[in-house]
Amino acid sequence: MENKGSLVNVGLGMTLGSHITPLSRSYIENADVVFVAASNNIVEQWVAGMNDDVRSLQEYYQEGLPRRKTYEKMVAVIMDELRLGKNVCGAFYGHPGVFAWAPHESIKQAKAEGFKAHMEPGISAEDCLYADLGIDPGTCGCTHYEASQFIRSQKKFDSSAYLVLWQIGVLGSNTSKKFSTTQDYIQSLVDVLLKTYPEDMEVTLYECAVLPIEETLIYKLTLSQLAQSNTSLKTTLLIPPLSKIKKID
Amino acid sequence: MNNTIKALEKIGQNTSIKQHDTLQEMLDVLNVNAKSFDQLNTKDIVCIHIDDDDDED
Repeated sequence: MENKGSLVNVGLGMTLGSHITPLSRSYIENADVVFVAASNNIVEQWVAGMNDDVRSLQEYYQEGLPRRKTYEKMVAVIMDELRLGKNVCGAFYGHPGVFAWAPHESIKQAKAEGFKAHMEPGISAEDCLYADLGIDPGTCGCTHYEASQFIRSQKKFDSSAYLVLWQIGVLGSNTSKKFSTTQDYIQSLVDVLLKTYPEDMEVTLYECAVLPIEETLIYKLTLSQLAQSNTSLKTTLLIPPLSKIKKID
Repeated sequence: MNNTIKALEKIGQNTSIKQHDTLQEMLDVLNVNAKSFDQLNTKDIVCIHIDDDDDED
């Protein structure tokens, strides 16, 4: 038998007002309690205006605290409200299922305890990247990695496809426990990439607009210039295909 | 909801800065005063997914 109470984790999309779906908004407005994890304090305030009981998950991010503890605390507060029989909504930046452990884990735990639980997608940074940079992953393929994981795991990848490395602005954060990176960490990424790509390879730094009055950041530079570039929490690196796929006649 | 944030939401729902050459041009077309957003204390906050060192897959 299913327990009283439900959980739905929804995506807010990337740009305030532009990307949220009517369904996700309806879940936020009608929930008993909403937990929000956004990328900007204005976005949090925007969500706070949709429901009388909106609680930020931001307080659980603390420099120096193991990330797993942060995510476990997020899941714990969501589960606490669910066990009280409430209809709970988690509102997450972008897509709730992309680069997000807590939304997946909370749904898994909720289902295991007999609650109704599901996820509603949102427009992700990946979706925006295709639109803003004018690339189509269908043309020659596209590989995505979280940047720190890419270095740590020495991932093998196909250089004839696009390579997208997420979160390069927090490269090394799993070790430093800080929400930023250093030139040394970026240089270590460059060193890995130089095993495959030439120094003068043109790459793109990309940041999606969070507010509708912000411009998307698209900055082209060479691979050798990457370590000297400015990055933030939102920065993504796009590397184009090294060679075109050979057509099979 | 705060009126300034409501105004931002309305902009987000109805137009894209990508349609315009500059932010100022967009605000002019929308007849919105850029100063109305000065009071917003906008700052990025942490919303990232990072594995711990012991989370090797």
